[in-house]
Amino acid sequence: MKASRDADETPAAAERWRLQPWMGAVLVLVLLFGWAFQRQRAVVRDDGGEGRPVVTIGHWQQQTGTVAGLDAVIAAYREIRPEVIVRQIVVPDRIYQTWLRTQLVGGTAPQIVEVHGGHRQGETVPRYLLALDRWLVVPNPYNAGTPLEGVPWRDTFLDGVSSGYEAALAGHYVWPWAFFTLRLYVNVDLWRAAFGEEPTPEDFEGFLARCVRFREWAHERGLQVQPMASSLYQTHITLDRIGRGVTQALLQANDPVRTLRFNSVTHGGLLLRGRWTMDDPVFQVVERAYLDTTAQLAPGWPQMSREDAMFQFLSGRALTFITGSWEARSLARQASFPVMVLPLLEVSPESPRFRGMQLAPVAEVGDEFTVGFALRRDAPHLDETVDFMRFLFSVPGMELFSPRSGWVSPLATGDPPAELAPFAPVREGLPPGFITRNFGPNSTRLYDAMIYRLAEGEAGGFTQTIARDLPGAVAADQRNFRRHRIAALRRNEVALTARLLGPARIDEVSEGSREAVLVDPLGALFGSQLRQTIEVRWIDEGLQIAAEAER
Amino acid sequence: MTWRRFGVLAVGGGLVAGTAALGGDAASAAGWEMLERFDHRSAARVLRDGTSREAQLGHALAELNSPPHTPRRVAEAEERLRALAGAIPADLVAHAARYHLAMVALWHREPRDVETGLRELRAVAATAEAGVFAQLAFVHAAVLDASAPGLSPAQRAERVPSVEAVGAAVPDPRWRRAAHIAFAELGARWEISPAVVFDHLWAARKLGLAAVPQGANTRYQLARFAEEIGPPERAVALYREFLAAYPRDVRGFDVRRRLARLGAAADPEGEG
Repeated sequence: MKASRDADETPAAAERWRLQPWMGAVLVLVLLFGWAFQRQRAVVRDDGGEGRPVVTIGHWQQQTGTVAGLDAVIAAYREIRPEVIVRQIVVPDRIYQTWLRTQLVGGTAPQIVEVHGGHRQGETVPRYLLALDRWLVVPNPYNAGTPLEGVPWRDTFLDGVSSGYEAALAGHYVWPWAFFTLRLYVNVDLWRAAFGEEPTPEDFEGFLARCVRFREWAHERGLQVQPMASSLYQTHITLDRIGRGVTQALLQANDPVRTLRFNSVTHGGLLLRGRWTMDDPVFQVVERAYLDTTAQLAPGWPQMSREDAMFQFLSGRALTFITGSWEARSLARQASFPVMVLPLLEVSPESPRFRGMQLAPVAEVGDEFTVGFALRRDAPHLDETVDFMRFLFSVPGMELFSPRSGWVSPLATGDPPAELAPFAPVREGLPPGFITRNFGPNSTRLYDAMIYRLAEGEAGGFTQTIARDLPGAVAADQRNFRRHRIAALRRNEVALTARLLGPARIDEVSEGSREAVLVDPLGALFGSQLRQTIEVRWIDEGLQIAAEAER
Repeated sequence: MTWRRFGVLAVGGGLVAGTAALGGDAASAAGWEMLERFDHRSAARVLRDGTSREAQLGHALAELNSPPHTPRRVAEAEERLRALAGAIPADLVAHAARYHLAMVALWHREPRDVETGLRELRAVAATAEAGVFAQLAFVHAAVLDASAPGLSPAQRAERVPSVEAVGAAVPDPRWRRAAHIAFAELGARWEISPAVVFDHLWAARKLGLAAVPQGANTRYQLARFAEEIGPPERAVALYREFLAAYPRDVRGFDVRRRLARLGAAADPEGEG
């Protein structure tokens, strides 16, 4: 039968069934995909095939020091808990967000994932991550014999894990891994050549004057070097810092809730109520400071990327480079010249043009550039996973990680070692104010679209355009915030009822118990509901006032 | 049928029913746990066949919050909640259902219906048997009332309940502490009166602030409002309390400057 069918086949059909080289390639690809899929599942879900629990950490920190630091912690943990396998997966930062989303939705994410503020928006936290409060309120056993022995784990972190707190959910969801700070990196050889002296910290005005001198020096010698390595990103972080310093007094004058902290709902609402406007003289001063700064950048800076700026600095074509402490090790390793780390150019409160506006140095809050680790909601091997995190975020764990990574420890263990001291957050200062970029996605888009006007070098264009369009952008942002708050209110009311009526019913706080003193999840959830109700009403009123003013 | 066969059938039937009920309870428990962690769609599936009133409430809430959020879904959930709320005599599930009818009006209907929400909340708050839901409803209604848009400062001040009124209506310290902090926030935001804000923050402090998330904000606010209304000695004590509780807070520099302006050292032993 088969023979007769073969005989009936046309030559074309026979050709179709003949093994083609591409079929082999496809087969290999399919096999590879299947192997990778199985391996991923094995890593994330199973026991490594050896009957041992596997804990996996996913992050985007590709720097050698960071990976080596984590490896050192993992190796030390293996000595303590040899039965647990801990692995790290490093995913390039360009694809990390997509990768994280896909893995979480597919249920194949590592138990521990690195996150920053952007990853925590929308439904990611309530849907995929687990609150850490139950572990944070008790001491970390790996701190035994250290100054942090017996201290609730939450309080062993520099910020008390406030950077990991999700107000809408009334819970802590992220262990802070690192508090990065912005610093001025200096090409010491170039500095010495231009000025015949060692680099020293300077304030904003002094630094700008030095940039002018440097340009003149380079021009006289026909050198193609710039005072500052330039890119759109570097411009953003530099101007943000200047603007938020100069608006300290504006924040203090507009702080009805007396927290001395900027809040986009509160301060956006105050703008819609006309409590502060872009007519405030501080915004002209900020614009002037921006123009003076961007005048020192390489032409074409709005089109340049972070990598361009890094290359300018490393190839010796820029005197300075403003970036975060996360780049410190890479810069030191890759630069063929000595690099010195200086404090970021700080506006002096005594400077005549900023007097009464910037009141003190800017305290580095630490939460702007914070990254952390979050725990997947349905993580397998939960006990082992949390135990490893206890070790990582303990005094012995950080003593292994911090020197290798070059990152300042997030733990409250006193001053950092001498080599990391330049990166320690500035505490002797006042919290920063705000710039018009800080009110939500719409106001950010407006600012980002207008920043190019600074490259034209003329006063007025940047601020006037923002002044015209900011109320509309802030109103749109406030409507977004209201939508998010209402979504959280809906969700949390059900969660609150579930805790009151469900199987894990909590009838009364046992007064005086350790948990009652340190954590009150129901009270916190109810408090969060009330605060969000107030914010919704605050936004309602602000939008009404803005609409009436429009009419 | 002999009595013996009847007995066997009865025992067998009882066992089957008991097992089903236990299974139902287990399913119901799983459903509530899913609701607690915001997994509404799975909870709706699990609670669909539950026969207890708790399970029916859970199912209504799960359906209400499952995507997509449509007017029809809201109306159906409202109908189920209304049926549960109408039980006579009213049990805890009935009170919870009524409380959630208020939430439907406030946060689910388009456009939001604050008047109906307030009416439902006040009805629950007025029912002593509603227990915990009466307390939640009292606070919620007062917050909504006092944060209504367009009020004058005097009108708003009248609507913020006094510390004593909150104490009388909300005996549970968990809800009372959250309520005091919320009324202080409301009073501060709308600039009602520093004294009113201080009174509520002070009442919250008496209940303990260690378990309050972002307690640094509350302690800092307390000291700031104390400074505004005087006497300065109390503000000094509260600023020092803040520094002791949050030595690394970003506002430490500001607090030390304020203490210096008040003629006090950050550390009482440094007064010499």
